[in-house]
Amino acid sequence: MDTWQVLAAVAAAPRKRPGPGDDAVGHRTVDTDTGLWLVAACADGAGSAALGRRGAEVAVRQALAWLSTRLKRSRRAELPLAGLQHAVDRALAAEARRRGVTVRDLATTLVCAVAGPQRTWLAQVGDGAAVVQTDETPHWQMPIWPDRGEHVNETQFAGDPRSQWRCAELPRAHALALLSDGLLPVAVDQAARQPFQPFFTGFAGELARRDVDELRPAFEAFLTSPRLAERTDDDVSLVVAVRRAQAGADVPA
Amino acid sequence: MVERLPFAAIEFAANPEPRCPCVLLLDTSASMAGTRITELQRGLAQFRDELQADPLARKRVEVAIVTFGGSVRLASDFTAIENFDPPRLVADGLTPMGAAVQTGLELLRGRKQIYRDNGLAYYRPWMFLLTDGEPNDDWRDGAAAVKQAEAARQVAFFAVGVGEANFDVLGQLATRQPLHLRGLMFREMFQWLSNSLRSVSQSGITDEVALSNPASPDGWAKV
Repeated sequence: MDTWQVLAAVAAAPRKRPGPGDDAVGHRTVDTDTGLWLVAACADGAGSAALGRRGAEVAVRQALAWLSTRLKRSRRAELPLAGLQHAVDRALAAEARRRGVTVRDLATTLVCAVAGPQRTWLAQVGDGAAVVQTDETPHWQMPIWPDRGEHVNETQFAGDPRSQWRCAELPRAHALALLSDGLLPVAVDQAARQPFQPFFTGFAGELARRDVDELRPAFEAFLTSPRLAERTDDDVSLVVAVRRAQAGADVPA
Repeated sequence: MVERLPFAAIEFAANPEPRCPCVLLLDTSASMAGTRITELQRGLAQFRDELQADPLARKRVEVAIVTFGGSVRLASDFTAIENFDPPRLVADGLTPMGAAVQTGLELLRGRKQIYRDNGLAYYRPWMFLLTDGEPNDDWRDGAAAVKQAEAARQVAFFAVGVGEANFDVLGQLATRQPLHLRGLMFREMFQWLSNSLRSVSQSGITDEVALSNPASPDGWAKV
């Protein structure tokens, strides 16, 4: 059976107020009758929201929990998007009630990926990005263009019933990445409206060669590097996952 | 041989900086003559200096100046703050404020088109009107155009009155409450404006940037 090599981290914008920033990421693998699934999420709490970071954490946690449960219960290989949106909105509303604030105070974008043995699903609200390299082509694809409206500092948020969630379905993924909008200036070719291929190939190449534990310090160092800080002014979060075939993993020891 | 850290050489896309356009509509009618125009001129110089000192704002903020004194004039077309040289202001004539507002909105429409044609991302434009009087032209069409543009989130329009400015008209021109400049605190006002533009031009996904309140007790405005 295949396994997934995953690196995930967040880093706060160096120029903004001190603290951990407003991004959150998470991932887990789910073992089902149909095989091993990777579920990953990345959220970016609105800078204008009082509890944006908390909103991002709640959205990521709820998305992972809901998708995992769904995958375990259902034998059908599909991603019911409406259910995901409802689950995340409900969790944000509950968190808002618990804290005596409005859902707007927890505003966050969210991008999720579910990579199964046969197919891949993406779902997102707002201006994060999901980038996938399928088994069929070495070209990294971004089927959902980050939603920015007309102006760069405007987007849509989870928790707001008016927000439009978007989804995409692709063939089996060999590798995938989720990122917050803070990385768009370096990871996406805006004019071509395409992922910047060398950016993603660089990460996936290392992940295919070395172990996650060995790479993690360098991955975190990258997100806080001055070289990156020169090119972005926002919190950054990144999840990179590469499928690795594990010979003999199906054979009990 | 020194082994580089993994990811140290990850290649970056070369995207142009997003633009943050700002139009200043400045009253240069005869009543502005003397200290008012001098202080305004000083404020402009400080505005440039402060934005130029910020590495990101200097690449992102673009300023245009429309003056209205006697006639409406494009005193300075859109330029990146790093190349911005404030024009010399001369006070003269009446106050065609309505026409100036229309000119400013037209200017913004043209600029956005240039951004779009060149694949440049941009922030919601700001328009900042400063006057010490009242319009001597028909300003109602201008007011309607501002309301429409605000409703469509095409512009954030701020009106600032100096001295005996007609706040009734300013209140109808702007959807936000017009601000009353304390004395001649032009420099403090421009400091606030440059700080605000700096925040906006460095905002990520925030849909509304929290601006400092200019009408706080030690601010440059009263409402």
